[in-house]
Amino acid sequence: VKQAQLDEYLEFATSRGSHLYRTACLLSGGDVHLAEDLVQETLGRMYVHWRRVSSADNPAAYAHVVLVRAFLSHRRRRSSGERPVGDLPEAPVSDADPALRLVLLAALRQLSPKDRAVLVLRYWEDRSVEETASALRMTAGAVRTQSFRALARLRAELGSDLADFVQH
Amino acid sequence: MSFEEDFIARLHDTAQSYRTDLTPLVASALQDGRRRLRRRRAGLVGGVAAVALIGVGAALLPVPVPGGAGTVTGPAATTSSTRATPLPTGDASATGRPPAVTTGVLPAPGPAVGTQQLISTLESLLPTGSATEPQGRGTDGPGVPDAPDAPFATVVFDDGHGASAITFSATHATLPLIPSDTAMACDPSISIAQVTCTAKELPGGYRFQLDQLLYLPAAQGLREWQGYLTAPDGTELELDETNAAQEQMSAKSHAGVRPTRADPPLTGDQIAALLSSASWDAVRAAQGEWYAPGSELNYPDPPVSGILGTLNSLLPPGVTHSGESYNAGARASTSVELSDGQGQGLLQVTVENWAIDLSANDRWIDSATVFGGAAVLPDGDQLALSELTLPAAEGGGVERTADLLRPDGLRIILQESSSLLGGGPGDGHSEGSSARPALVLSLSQLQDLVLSPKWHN
Repeated sequence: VKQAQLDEYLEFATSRGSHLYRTACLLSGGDVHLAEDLVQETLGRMYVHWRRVSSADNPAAYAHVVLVRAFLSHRRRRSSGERPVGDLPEAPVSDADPALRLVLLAALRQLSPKDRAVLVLRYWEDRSVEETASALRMTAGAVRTQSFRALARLRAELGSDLADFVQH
Repeated sequence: MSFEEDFIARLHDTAQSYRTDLTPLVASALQDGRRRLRRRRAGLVGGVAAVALIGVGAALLPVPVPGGAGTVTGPAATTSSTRATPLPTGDASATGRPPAVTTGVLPAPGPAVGTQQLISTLESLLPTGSATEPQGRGTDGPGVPDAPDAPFATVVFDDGHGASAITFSATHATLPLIPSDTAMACDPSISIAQVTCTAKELPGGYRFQLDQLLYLPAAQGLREWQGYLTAPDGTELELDETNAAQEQMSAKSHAGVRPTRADPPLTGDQIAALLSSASWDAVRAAQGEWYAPGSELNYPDPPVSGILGTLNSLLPPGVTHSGESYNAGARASTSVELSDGQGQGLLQVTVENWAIDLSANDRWIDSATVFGGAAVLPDGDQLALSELTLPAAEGGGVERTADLLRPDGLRIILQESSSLLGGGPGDGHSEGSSARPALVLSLSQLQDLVLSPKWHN
């Protein structure tokens, strides 16, 4: 990797790292250690392919595809690394009202990883159904169905709590 | 405010509240990337010749056979072009047992299936009628590096009773199969008025699910049936059909779509039969590129707790270690600083379970390429020794690696670096921390260490 490409890579990693980390925190249900591992793996893969990736239309979008696939793949390889459901994740560093966030994160952790990935891409990354489908190698129809189900499950988990939060 | 809006607002608040120090994270990522690049280069070169330059100033070295005759050189691993493809009739691979590992045989995914073949296969399996407006993407279609997009084929089908957009696609479900994680089973706890879900078990461990979606407003009459056939190895085939000529309607974009018929043309049983056709075997086989068959959950890494104790008992006299650190990342490892009284070096010990990688070709881990040039020892062990001279632009120094892969999947990597921090500019570490003229352990000593039977415990 030539110096100019290295500089470009480091600039990319630094500028996108925070957003990738936040996405990873949601995917991991608040497990910041797993989130850091995922960002490291994602950016590591980006480095290997940087020459090709940097010339792509949207390297940032590519990074998020790699991140979410790394998350799903990671779970296959290292499922024991995830904490059991019910073990509350760490509070975000700059959280003014951590209890509210923790309830949401705990509810996210009740979802399957793929459900979490669908919701995070659709509602945090603001990806379209089609973009989400491409990232997760699903069809648009399957994304819609899974999204319906995941939201219904969340509503069952914390419907009134969430309303309370918003009124809070 | 609807639940969905509440959820989105709370999700954004939660995400925005996370902060991290990016400097060490980016430095770790850069090191991770460099390791991946080196492994990739080593693998690519190893497949061509036993002794060859790797990167700058590095060579994959011949390996003396312990207690045996002469030197064995690679390439070691052979690649099989065949891959077991379980059929609905059931076979051993449908039992969920971890596949047997055969020394030196790394099953590869089947050949890629092209776009036209996918479309032709779909058309050949449809009932009598016309199929127009074909679109598709083969299993070797475009995608981002390391993560190709899912293959699909779409046609507008008309059996004489109205056009229907029909899409076939192939993907892979998470293993082990968890109902809520895939389209695998209808979750009775989730009731959605506009989705009817039915599922059934098929012979051989196959499962079929049918989702029938009724789009709102109901008066518009738009319907979409989605059938999923999931194999025990996780390969999942999907057929999606609508009662309109437009494919993949979305919640926002179906306003102007008009139904062409009451229901989509194929019944659930017809979808199940279509997806069960042996004509898709090649697609299933090609899917092996992305995910390995068999549950990776059956292949936990060995505990790292014993690494340090084993290392202690194996270090040559006069060599001590300190500054142990433990990396609990995706590749758990232990690092120690070595000292022989004349200087220090960094030794990283990683112990992994590669049984899953031997049983199937996981392109994310590159088992075939990493060990493609390794020497095969009489007991079936594959051993790759390398010495890499890092270019000055990356901080200089030397890195020696003894990388052992046993037939049972146990992989031990000993990597010794002359740089205490193992990197160079841009790692977030000072350049002055590297540099000692010689490493503490010779390549021969590393080889002796890695071949010790004590690691088997």
